Amino acid sequence: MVTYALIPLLPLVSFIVVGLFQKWFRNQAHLICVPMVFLSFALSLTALFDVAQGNTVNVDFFEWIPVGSFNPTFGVMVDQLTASMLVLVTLVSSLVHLYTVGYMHGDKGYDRFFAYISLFTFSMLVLVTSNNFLQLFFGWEAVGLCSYLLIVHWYERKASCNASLKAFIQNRVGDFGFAIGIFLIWVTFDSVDYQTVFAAVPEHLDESVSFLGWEVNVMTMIALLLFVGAVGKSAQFLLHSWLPDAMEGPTPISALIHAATMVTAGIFMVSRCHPIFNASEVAMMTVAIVGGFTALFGATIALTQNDIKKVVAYSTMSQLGYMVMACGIGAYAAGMFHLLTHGVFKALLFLAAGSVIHALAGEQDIRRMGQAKRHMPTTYWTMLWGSLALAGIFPFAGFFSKDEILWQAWNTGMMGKGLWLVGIIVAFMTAFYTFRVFFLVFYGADNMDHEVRHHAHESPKVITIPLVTLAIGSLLVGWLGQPFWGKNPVHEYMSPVFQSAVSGTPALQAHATPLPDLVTAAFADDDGHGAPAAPEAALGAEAAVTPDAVATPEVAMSAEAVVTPGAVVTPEAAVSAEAVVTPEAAAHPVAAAAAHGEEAGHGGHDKGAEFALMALSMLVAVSGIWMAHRWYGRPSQAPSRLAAAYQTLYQGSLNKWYWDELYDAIFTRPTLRLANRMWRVADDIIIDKVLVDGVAITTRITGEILKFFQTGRVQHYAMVMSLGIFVIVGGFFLF
Amino acid sequence: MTPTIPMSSVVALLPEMIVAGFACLVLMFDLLLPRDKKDPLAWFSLAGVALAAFATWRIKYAEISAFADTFVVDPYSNFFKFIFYVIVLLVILLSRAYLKQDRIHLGEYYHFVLLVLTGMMVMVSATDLITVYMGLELVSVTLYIMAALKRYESRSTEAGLKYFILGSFSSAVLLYGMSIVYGVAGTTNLQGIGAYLNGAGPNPAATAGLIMMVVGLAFKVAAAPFHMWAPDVYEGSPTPITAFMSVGPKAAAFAVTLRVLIEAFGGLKSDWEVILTVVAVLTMFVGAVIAMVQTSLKRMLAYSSIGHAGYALIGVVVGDALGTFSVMYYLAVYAVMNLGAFGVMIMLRNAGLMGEEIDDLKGLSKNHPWAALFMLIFMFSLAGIPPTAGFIAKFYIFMSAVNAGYIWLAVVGALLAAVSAFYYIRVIVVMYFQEPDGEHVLTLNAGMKAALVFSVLFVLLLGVYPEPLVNYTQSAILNF
Repeated sequence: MVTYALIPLLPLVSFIVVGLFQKWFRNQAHLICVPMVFLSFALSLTALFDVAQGNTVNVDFFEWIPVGSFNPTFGVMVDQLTASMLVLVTLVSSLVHLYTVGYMHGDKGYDRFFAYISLFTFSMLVLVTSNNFLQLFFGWEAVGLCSYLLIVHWYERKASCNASLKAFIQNRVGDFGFAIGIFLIWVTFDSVDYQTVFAAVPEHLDESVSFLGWEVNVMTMIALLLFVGAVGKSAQFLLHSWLPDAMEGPTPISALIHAATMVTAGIFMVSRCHPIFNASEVAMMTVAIVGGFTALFGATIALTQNDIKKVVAYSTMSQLGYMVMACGIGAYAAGMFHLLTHGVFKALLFLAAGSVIHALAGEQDIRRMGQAKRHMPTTYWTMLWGSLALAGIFPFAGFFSKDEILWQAWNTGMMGKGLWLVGIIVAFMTAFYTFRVFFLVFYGADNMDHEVRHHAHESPKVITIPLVTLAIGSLLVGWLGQPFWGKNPVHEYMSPVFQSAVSGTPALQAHATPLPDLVTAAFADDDGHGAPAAPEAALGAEAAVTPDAVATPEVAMSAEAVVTPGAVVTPEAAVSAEAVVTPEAAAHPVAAAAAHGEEAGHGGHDKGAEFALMALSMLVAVSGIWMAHRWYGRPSQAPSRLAAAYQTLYQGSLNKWYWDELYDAIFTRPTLRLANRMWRVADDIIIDKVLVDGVAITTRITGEILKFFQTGRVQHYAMVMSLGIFVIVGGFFLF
Repeated sequence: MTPTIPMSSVVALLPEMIVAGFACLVLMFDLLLPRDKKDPLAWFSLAGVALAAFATWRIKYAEISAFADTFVVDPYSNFFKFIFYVIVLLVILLSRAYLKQDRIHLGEYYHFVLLVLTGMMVMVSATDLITVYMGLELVSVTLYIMAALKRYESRSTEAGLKYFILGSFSSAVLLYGMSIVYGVAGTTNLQGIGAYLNGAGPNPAATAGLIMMVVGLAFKVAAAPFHMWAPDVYEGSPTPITAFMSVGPKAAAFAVTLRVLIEAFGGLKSDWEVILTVVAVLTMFVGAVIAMVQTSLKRMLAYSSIGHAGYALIGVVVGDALGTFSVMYYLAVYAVMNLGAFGVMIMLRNAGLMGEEIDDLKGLSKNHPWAALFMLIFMFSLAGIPPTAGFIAKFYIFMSAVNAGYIWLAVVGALLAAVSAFYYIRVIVVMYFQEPDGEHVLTLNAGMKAALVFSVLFVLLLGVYPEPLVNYTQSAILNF
């Protein structure tokens, strides 16, 4: 318990020490920060194994701000979900710390930079270890602040300032929704504690709130509001445009904050709050659709960008869309798995891109690179591995997690099939743009400036060691979720979280019965994997049957009508299973699939289908790479011919579908105009001139006039006194 | 029939007798001391004050009516007497250096101070119009002389003369009012007048008498439009005496006003509340607005003192238990913070500098950071900015007004307080943001240091923890 508290506190200590005594460090801040974060990482590993043995922790350290019945605490909750996030955050943070030593060497804000990434690490760890919504919000805001501070690290640059403001303001929009969501949770549940809230979800399923005159189901409302926060933080469609701009920050930040950790907070939060999201089909559909669209949207833009970091940034956005989509179809474990693998290989790609930029003296335009392979072999190899992982090539990490999501989507009814199609298209684009960058940088024509080429060199060890570590990680981490034999280890590990007693209670199941046709139709997929698997699911579920899961007869009867995502429980199943139906099995496709392992979820027939889909997506990815190789592996006219032929599409993608311009026209410029007007008229004229100056001048003049009466002559004074008496007496008796 | 004086009356009057006795002794001892060695008189006077304070302490919560109901000892009068003791203590500590500097360190000074103290004590204990007038005149006449103490300077003699003429005028008006009231009610006893007015119906003559009396008292507290003597007199008098005048007699006049209005004219509240509302607003306005255009610190503080009388009048207008409480609390706090501000001004007085202009404070923070800091705290407190006692005091005044439904009065008061913040803060700006013209030589001795530290601590501690004074004040409000 104390060790768990230390995990976030160690980086906080280094922030405080370095932050307060910056001047004394003289570019040696890493001596404090790096050991601290590595220690944090070690402790996180122990947490991971502790939790694997079932020792989850949920303690309150102290009451935070008790106000009446509002009594939030500051505590720590470490379960499987948190533990895996802890390891990811501290691992990437440690490697980025190390990398920073080399990358930021000689920067005049070196110590400040270290102070802030330590603060960021602390904030992110608070976010993931929180056991209530308020503390979550604290971490949520704190990471946003750190993101802002770090993007604007080079504050002399106009672009950095603009980008940081953009990130901050767009996140405010999301956080506003998020905060209202938490308010609504407090109003509905009278608590902000995770466990209390999640346990009480079934009691509030049918309540509704009034929103702009509509009666909206309260669960839908809460879930959507929380999701607004996730949209901002995870750069989903409509609040996405800050993420690419955030690349103005130093590259280690892009890797740590804007690829591996902070931007995934949205996915983490949705997974954490899955009992709430599960309670609302509308919210789930929204999440799935937004995620799918973002995945496609980001990928289309990434195709044509010329800035190496921008490509990786849009790719991040697209991959985040993947994860959100996974959450939207209830495949939380798959989403989290992709989050973890993506964290590793995307951090690698950013750090490798940073290494390239570092070696080429700050050049970021891939059109002015090429043939870098011979200058920097280590970077070349690690970037290749990272790209293969992102493209989803077996046996690299991305292959496993991406296919897990695609497979879950395929199994989730008609809408799932649609999302699967989106996913496969995105997979193709991903492979293509990833290797477009790769070939342009390391092969292709040598377009470097003479000067730059002359100085091109491999990066120092502190940079390459994190690269190699992450590259090995990109190869290995996917095997944690291998689907080939035995049980899928990641699902096994995560299963307690996503099928805990509070996730799917009988009440929830009973509620699920009268769901809108749309949803049931979308998810009912009886010739897929659900129906045949269900009896086995019910019978062979000993391993997964928790005490809470023993359904009452009433539930079993109602289960007839339940047509829910994933496992369609037939009447026979319900009866023959002697009323032992895990509610989770009915409620969550993933849980069902994960908990029942191969025999149940992935029956023999389905195994075949899964392998077929895997082969298909491999084929798609390979063809993407092949196309990139044809066009960019050596000098070719094809890309420019194609761009000329489809001018509109090309320009649209290149200009990010004009979203920045749109926001500029709708929000930025009218706001600036209004602010300007307010300043000139309200501030300058009305308040400053008329009110402030006017009052001051009037008072002063009155004072001068009254002073005039103070003549210093006694007879005048006596006269004024007499007049006063007359006026008072006269006035009194007259009125 | 031989009139006998019961023992209880002697006990009741003991503090006054002690102070008056010491005043006479001071005058005698003065003859024994050489011209430049009058310091022992200061300590002797303080010993008298301490003795009187002890005597008062013994009957702190007693209720004694003495001398055929013309004089009373009650918690209310004792509260004010304690304020007066503190005021006299601070004034004596603050004035020695200045008086020596200006070569008016005379034995009579202490005699006068103690006489004024006696008069003020009689005022707050008076329950008869005659005793009220007696105390009032003892204070006034002595102050006329004190104002002119610096005989060789025309400014000072002019101040004394003006004060005398206008003061006599106002005393006449007050007496006129009293005689009308006596004519109507047939008694000069406050309770008796109150009983008569409650029994009889509305009587224009009584109202006329009331108005005259209110005018006379308004002159004593320097409320507009009867304030015009104040700036001239305050500016002309030697600074320690100005400091004394601006707090002591003013507090005593407020105490009398409250007692007379509530005990004798409680039945005519609807009448005097209208008059006093107008007077209060006018007073606050004059205090805030004219002070803004002053260049003399002393004159500015004179107007500021007028303004503060306006705020205290709000509490009088409210006139209920909370209103009385807020006035008493306000006067206690105002006395100390105003004396503190004057104390800093007195410190600045040295051979080369009068220290009475705002510009004299230029860059004080660079030369004497502690003096500047003290002045800053007193200015903040006078402006009513937390965490100083001045804020709490204003807060209670406005709260009592809002509670009793005089919301607009509280609003006007708050707005004018904001205006007045301007000139207090200007002093701070001058001290902290302007470069000094030259060296400031402070006139400072141990007594002044003690007085200033006491004032600062008082202002700051009561600003954060007002409880003790609030509790004591609440136990001392008039009976309703």
